[in-house]
Amino acid sequence: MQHYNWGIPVALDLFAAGLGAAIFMVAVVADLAGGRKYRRINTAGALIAPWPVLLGVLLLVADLGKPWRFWEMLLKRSHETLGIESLMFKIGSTMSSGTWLLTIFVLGSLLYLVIALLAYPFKWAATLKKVLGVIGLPFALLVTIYTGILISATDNVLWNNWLLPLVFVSSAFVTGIAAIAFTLAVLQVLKPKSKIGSDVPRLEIMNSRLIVIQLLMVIIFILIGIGSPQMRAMIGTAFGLLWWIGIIGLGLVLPFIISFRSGAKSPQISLFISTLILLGGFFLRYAILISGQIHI
Amino acid sequence: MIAEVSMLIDVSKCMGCRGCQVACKQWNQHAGEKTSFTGTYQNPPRLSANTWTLIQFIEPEDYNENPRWLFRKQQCHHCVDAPCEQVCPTGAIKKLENGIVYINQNICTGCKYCVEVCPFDIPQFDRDSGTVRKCWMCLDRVKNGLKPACVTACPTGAVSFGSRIGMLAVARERKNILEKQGFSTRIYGENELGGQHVICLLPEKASIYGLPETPRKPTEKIFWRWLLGVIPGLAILAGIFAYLSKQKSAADTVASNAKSGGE
Repeated sequence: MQHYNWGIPVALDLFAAGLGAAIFMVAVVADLAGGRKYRRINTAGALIAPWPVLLGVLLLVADLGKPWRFWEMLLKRSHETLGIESLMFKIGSTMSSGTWLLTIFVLGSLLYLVIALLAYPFKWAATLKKVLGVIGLPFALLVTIYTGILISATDNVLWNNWLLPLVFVSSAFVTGIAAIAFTLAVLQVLKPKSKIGSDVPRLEIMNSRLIVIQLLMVIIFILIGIGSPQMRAMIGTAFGLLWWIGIIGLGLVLPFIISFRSGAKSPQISLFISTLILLGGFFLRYAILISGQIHI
Repeated sequence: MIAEVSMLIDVSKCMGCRGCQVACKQWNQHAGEKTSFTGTYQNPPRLSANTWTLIQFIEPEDYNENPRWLFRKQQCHHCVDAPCEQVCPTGAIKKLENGIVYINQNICTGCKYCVEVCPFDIPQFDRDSGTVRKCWMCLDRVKNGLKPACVTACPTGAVSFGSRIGMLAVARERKNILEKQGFSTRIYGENELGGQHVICLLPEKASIYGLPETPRKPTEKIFWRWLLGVIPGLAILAGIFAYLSKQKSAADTVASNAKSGGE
């Protein structure tokens, strides 16, 4: 098997970072839009948002040539004495800005999780949660964009596509909403008599609108890059089946058909379609990341 | 102020002896690589963490109409506007005052971002050291007033070394001679990516030698790309907010909601 410079760990990070950040944003926006009305969406989102991003960060660190020296990305060292001089931050390096965005997001979303739980018994925490959520929104949005900029600002014919960040941003929202729907649907299945999954159809209907945007982004992305052999490999010879049947068909079109009118008919179907969306979101990154590194 | 140094690779003088390859391996103490015959004298087939320079053996596409065998010494171009240096998140890659771009092996953590941004595919990841490595223009030799190892090994004068101004003057002189002989010659590296510290005199189109005709910095439009992500991102957030705000409470009407739809 061919060895790829950036392989599955990076694909997982691109997926997980966008996923976690979008979960966070949907949770915060639901809180701002409905307060207690959307407490289920908000709490489920707050509970799951940090973990994918944390996992993504750990995978990225593990993928380094020297994982134990990950701190070199946070602290700047002198070339002469090798002593630590200051914090390391380079605005022009997406890897550097991404490192900080991911670090800040993981810490911030963990804090948000604690505050979100405290908001049930304490009123002050509910207000604090809103404030913290609003502060966190720009960071979370930048995390979703970072995943696209990281690979689009490279010397790679397939990735260096100005629409790629938007493909990843829209996919992050679609998968993020699916992850919240998945969590609520699981709880509904476990507790069939509760109302815990009552917001799921609403999330699914909303997500079906976003899936349309996502499909549009993917199509424009393909059209922009169709001149390159890597793009043709991605949608044809190398990943054609995965791309059209898996990512587009099962990952986007089928969930859209099932949910665009009134959401899935049962929590079990909700589990099914949100799983498809999540898998599609991962394989979208995987196909793009690997196809870009095929030598043709 | 230290004068900027440069290497001049006069492709028209190269005869493909690969002495530079051997000298590079020897000075930098790099092990050889096991390779197999692939139908070309180019060997090893590509640069690696232990092969910092390589003679490309090229038979152009129009070989049948115009038979010629071309050689080019492939190595790091030591760009002024070095994309690898700009994206390095640890600061391990540094542009020195004399123009050499080098990777500090003590600081590099092996994130491989430079590998992905270099328009010339130069930096190579080394699994053994866990770092990315590339030509450092024999910085240890240059600091002590010596020429890089490959330059001293070259028997034809295809590779020379000196001040950047001096090397450019030689290149222009040589270009005049070649053009009189009927070769439309390009001084590659004079202005490419802010100017480079390896100047290649190319008597054919750059693309024939596997070089990009107009190398671009992948990071040049990065601000606009961030902005292009932020605006639609905010629009999606606003859409979600608007959608959720106009909904009536679903929590108490779960049964009817699931059947009748949300809108």
